[in-house]
Amino acid sequence: MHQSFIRYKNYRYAVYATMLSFVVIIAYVLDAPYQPVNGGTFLGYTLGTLGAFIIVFLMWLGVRKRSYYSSLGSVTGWLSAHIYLGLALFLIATLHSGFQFGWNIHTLTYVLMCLVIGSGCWGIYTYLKYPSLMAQFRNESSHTEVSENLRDLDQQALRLATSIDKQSHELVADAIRRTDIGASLWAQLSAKDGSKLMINSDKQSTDTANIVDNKEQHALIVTLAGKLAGSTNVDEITSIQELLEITGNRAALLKKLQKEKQLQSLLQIWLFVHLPLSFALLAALAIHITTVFFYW
Amino acid sequence: MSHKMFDVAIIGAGPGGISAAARASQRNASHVLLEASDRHANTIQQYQKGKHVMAEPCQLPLRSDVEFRAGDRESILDKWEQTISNTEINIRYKAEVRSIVSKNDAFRIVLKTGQSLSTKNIILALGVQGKPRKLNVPGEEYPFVQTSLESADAYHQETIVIVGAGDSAIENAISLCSDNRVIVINRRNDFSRAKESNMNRIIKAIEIGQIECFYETTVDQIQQNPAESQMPGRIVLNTVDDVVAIDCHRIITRLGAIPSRKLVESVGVSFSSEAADSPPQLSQYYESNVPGVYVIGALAGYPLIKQALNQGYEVIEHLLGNPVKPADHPILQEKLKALPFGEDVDDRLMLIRQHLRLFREINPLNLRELVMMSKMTTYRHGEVIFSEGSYCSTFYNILQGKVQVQSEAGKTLTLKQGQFFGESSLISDRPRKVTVIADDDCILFETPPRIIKKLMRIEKSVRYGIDQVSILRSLNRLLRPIPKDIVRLIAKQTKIHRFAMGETLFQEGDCSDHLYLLRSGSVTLSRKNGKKNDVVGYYAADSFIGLMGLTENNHRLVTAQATVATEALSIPFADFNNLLTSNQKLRDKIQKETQNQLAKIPRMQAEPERGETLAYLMDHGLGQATNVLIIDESLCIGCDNCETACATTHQDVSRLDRKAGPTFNSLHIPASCRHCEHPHCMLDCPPDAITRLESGEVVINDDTCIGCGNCEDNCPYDVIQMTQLNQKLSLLDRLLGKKSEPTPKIAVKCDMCMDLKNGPACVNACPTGAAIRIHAEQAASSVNKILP
Ligand SMILES: Cc1cc2nc3c(=O)[nH]c(=O)nc-3n(C[C@H](O)[C@H](O)[C@H](O)COP(=O)(O)OP(=O)(O)OC[C@H]3O[C@@H](n4cnc5c(N)ncnc54)[C@H](O)[C@@H]3O)c2cc1C
Ligand code: HEM
Ligand code: SF4
Ligand code: SF4
Repeated sequence: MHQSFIRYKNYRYAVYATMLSFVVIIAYVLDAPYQPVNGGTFLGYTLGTLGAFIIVFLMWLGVRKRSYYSSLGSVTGWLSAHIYLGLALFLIATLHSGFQFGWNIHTLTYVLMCLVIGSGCWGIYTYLKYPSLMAQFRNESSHTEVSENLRDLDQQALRLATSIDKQSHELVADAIRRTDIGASLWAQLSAKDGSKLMINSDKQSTDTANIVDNKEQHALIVTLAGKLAGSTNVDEITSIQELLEITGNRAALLKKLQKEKQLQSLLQIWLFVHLPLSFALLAALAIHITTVFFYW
Repeated sequence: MSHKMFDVAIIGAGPGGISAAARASQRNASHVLLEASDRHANTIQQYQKGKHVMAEPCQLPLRSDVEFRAGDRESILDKWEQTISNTEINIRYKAEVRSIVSKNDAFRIVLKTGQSLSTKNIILALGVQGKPRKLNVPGEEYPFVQTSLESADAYHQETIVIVGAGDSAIENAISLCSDNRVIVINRRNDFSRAKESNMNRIIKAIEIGQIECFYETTVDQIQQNPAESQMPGRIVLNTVDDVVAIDCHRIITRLGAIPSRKLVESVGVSFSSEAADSPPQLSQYYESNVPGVYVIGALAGYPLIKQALNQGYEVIEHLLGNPVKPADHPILQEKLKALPFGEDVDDRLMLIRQHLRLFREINPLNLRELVMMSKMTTYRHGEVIFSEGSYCSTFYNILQGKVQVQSEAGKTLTLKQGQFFGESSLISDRPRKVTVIADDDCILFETPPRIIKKLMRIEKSVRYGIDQVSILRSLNRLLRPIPKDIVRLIAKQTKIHRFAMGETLFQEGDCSDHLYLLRSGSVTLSRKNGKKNDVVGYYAADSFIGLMGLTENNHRLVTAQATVATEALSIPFADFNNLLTSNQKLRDKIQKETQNQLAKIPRMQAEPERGETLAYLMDHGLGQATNVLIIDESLCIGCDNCETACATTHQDVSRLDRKAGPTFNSLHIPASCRHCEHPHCMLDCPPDAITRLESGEVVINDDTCIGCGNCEDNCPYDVIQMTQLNQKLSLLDRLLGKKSEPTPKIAVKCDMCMDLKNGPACVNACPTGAAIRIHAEQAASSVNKILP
C-alpha cells in the first residue's frame, strides 16, 4: 500500500542519479588522458558547477519541507531525490577535485561535504530502523492510549492515597509532580530517570523534608512498604497494598514511555548533526567559489 | 377553567408557537398558547450557554411579529420574552397537554394538571425534542431533581446522582466528574445502548474510580434529606441484593425522550410513513388530515427557527381567512421562471407533478420543498450531463426533451419526458457507471441526493417507483445479453434486502436457494477454520455473492457479512439457472466469476494475515470510505509534519489527530475524516451545511454551519471537532491590516484540501511516504489481490 522515500515511484530518483553518475564517470575517463586532473579544466568547471547546484538543491529541502502550500511535488519525492542526488554528489565532487587534496579551504569544503553525506546516511539508517522498532514496542496501542493510561494510573493512585490519609496523598502527589523521565534531549537519549521525591524524615514537621532520588519510583515504593509494615488497620492495609500495586504498574509504564522517548530521540539526534554541518558546508562552499574566482 | 371557546389553541411556545400567538394577538383573535415547561422556547433554553444561534437559511426572508436575527442564545431569548410580555399574548406556562379529543367541530384539550379547555382550531408546534421520560417514582418533583444539564461548570464539589445509561447520561457524567462526586444508576448491566466511544469512556471512568456506578439498579423513591441541609436530596435504590439510600446535592434523570408523535397521532393526524423523521401529512397550509388541526415547525419537518417563525404567521393568517403566500414564494417564483410552461407558481407546481410520474402522489408541502431544493437546468443538444466515473449522486427527472444513456459496453438507451435517471449512484453512492448526454435541448429537474433520499423515506410511492426501475435497470445491465422480456420476468422474482452494518447475509452451511447482487455497501466473506473465522474475500456494489451454491452442493461455503449498511437484490437459483441454460454467453461469464471467487478462498486462507488486515480495515469503517488516511507506522518518524501542514493550511486547526486511532499490522488509521459513501454526519444537519462533492469528498460549509453538534454526535469515527476558527481573510483585507475575528464554535473536519492544487497537504508534507490517502477499494484490493 505504502511506498517509502527509498522506493518512491519505483526508484525514480535512484535511476536518475545512477544515470547521472555514469555520464560523469564516462566523461571523466574520456577526458582524463588530455587534461591535467584538477578543478580548473573545462570538465572540472562543469562538474563543480553541477555539484554546487546540487548542493543548493539539497539545501532547498529545508525550505520545501516548510512550504505547506507548495504544489511542487511531495516532500517524499523531494527527500527521495535528496538522498540519491546527495549520494551521487559524492562522486561528482570527488571527480571535480581530481583527487588533489591539501590543507586548504577547498579540501575543507570537500571534507564537510563528506561529513554531511555521512550524517545523511546515518539518517537513512535511523529512519529505516527505528520507526518499526517503536511500532513493535507500542504493540498496537496508540500514543494517545499510552499517555491516557499513565494519566489514569496517576489518578487512581491519588484517589487511593487520599482515602488513606493526608500524608500519603501529599507523598503520592509529590511523586507524580516530580516524575521526570527526560525533559531534555540528552536525558531522553540516555534514558535517564530523573524522578525525585520529597520525604519528611521527621513526621511532625515539614522543615526537615529532603528531596531524594526516586528512580523507577523506588523511593516511593520503599516508603509505602514501610507504611504498610507499620499499619495495623485492616482497611488501611488493603488500600496501601493496592496503592503499592498501582505504583508498581506506574513504574513499569513509565519505563516503557522512557524507552519510547529514547527511541524517538535516537530518531532525531542525527539531524542535529546533519543540519549544522550542511550550513557549514554552504558557507565553506561560498568561500571556495569566491577564492577560486579571485585567483583566476 | 373557563368555558370560553377559543378560536385557536397553540400548543408549544417554541419559535413556531410564539410567532403564531403573536400574530393572533396582533389580529385580536381569541387564542391561548400552552407551554409545558415554566419558560418560553424550551428547546432553545436548553442550548449551551452563550451559543451563537444562526439565522439560516439566509436567503429566506423572515415574516413574523417576532424579531429574530443571528445572535447569542441569551439575547434572542430576552427579545422573545419582551415580545411575549409587550404584546397581548395569552400564554400559560406549566400547561403540558396530555390529550386532545375532537367533539362536534371543536376540540377539547386536557392538561396534565387536569384542567381542560375548548377550541375551534389547534396549532401543534411541539418541536421534536419530545418530553423527557419520567422515573414515575415518588419525590420526582423536588427542586433538586432535574432532567437536563445546561452547563457542567456551574457545579463544584457536589454529590450528583445521574439516572440513565444512554449517551446524554454518559456525556453529563463525564463532564461533571472532574469536579464532583458522580454516581450513575444503570438499570441494566452494561452501557450497550450508547455510542461505542461513550461506552468506552464511561467504562474506563468507572474502572479507575472517577465515576461510581450501580448496575442492575432501579430507583425506589426520592426523598428530602432530613438530616443535612447541605445535601438536600436522598435517593433510595433497589440494587440486586439490597436497598441503598444515597444523600446528594442533585439528581439528574436522563431517560431519553418520549417523542411527541404519540400525542399528535392520538388526535387522528396521520404521518406519511413509519420512519422516525417522517413528518405528518399536511396540506399546503400546514393543515393535517384532521380539519382544524395544524402542524408547524420542527414537528412538521422544518428544522430551522426561521421556518418555524414564518409558519406560525402564515397559519394564523390562513385561519383568519386571509391566506398569504408562503415566505419562500418569491424564491420559488424566481426558480420556476425558467420553465416554458405554466402561468404562476401554483400552476407550474401542478404541471411539474403532471409531467413527473414519480412525484404524482406526493404531498403538496413535500412537493414544494422538493422543488425548492431542486434545480431546473436546460441542456443543449449534445451536452454531457454527467460522465462515467464522476462521484456525484444527483438525481434527475426529465421535464422536457430526451437524453441518451451510454454504458461502457457501448449500448445506448434513450429516456424521455417523465422518466428519471441517476438512481444507481443515488442508491450506491458510488461513481457513475454510465455517461448521459442531452439528446434534444432538454430541461432536467435535478435533485440533491439528501433531499431525494429523505423523500424516499417519507413517501412510499417515491421509494417504490425508484426501486422498481432500479431493479430492472441493474438486471439489464449485469445480465446482458439476456433479452428484455426475460429480464422483466426475473425482476418480478427479485427482492430487495437491506442489511445493517455487521449483519450477516447468510451463514456458512446454510441451505442456499438464491444469489445476491449487491447494489450498495459491501460485504466480507469468511470461512470457519477451527475456532476462528478466516476472511476470504471482500466485495463491493455490483458484485454477485452466493454464486458458490449455484453449481456445487446446496449449502453455503462461506459466511457473508455486511461491512456497512448494505442493500442487495436476491434472485432465486431456480430462475437464474433456467436463464443460464438458455444463454451460453452469460453462463460463461458467471462461471468465470464463480471460479475466481472459489480460487481466492484457499489462497486467502493460506495467508491469514491478509484476511486479518482486511477485517481490521473493515472494522474501522474502510468499507465505506471514499478516502481515508492510513499511516504506515514502520515508516512514520513522528515528525508531525502532517499535522503541522494541515493546521497551517486550515486556519491553524489540524483536522487530523495523528496519535489517536487504531493500529494493526503497523497500519495506523488516525482520527481523520474518511469521506464516507453514506456520510452519517450528513443525516441530521438542520441547515444542510454538509455536502458531498462530485469527486466524493464530504465537506462542511463554514458559513452556514449553525454549530448544533449533531454531526459530531453522528460521526462514528469521532473526527469532527466543534471549535472556533479564525476567519479566512482575502489578500486585500490582509494587506489593509484587517484582523481576523474568531467564528462562533462550528463543526470542523478534513476537507481533503479541496482548495489546494496538489491535493491533501498532510500527504504532501510527509517526508518518508508514511502517510497516504486512499480509496477503500484500493486498500482492499492491495490486501485482497485478485488471482491472475
Ligand atoms: C443544539 C441545537 C442547536 C440548534 N441551533 C440552531 C440555530 O443556530 N439556528 C436555527 O435556526 N436552528 C437551530 N436549531 C434548531 C431549532 O432549535 C429548531 O428548529 C426550533 O427550535 C424548532 O422550533 P419549534 O417551534 O418547532 O419547536 P421547539 O423550539 O422545539 O418548541 C417546542 C415547545 O413545545 C413545548 N411542548 C412540547 N410538548 C408539549 C406539550 N405536550 N404540551 C405543551 N407544550 C409542549 C416544549 O416545551 C417547547 O417549548 C438547533 C437545535 C439544537 C438541538
Ligand atoms: C551535501 C549534501 C547534503 C546537504 C547540503 C543536505 C542538506 C540537508 C538539509 C538542509 C536538510 C533539511 C533538514 C530540515 O530542514 O529539517 C536535510 C535533510 C535530510 N537529509 Fe540531507 N543533505 C545532504 C546530503 C544528504 C544525503 C547524502 C543523505 C542521505 C543519504 C541525506 C539525508 C537527509 C535526510 C534523511 C534528511 C531528513 C529529511 C526530513 O526528515 O525532513 N542528506 N539535508
Ligand atoms: S465526518 Fe465522519 S461520518 Fe462524516 S464523512 Fe467523515 S468520517 Fe464519515
Ligand atoms: S508526516 Fe509522515 S512521518 Fe511525519 S508524523 Fe506524519 S505520517 Fe509520520
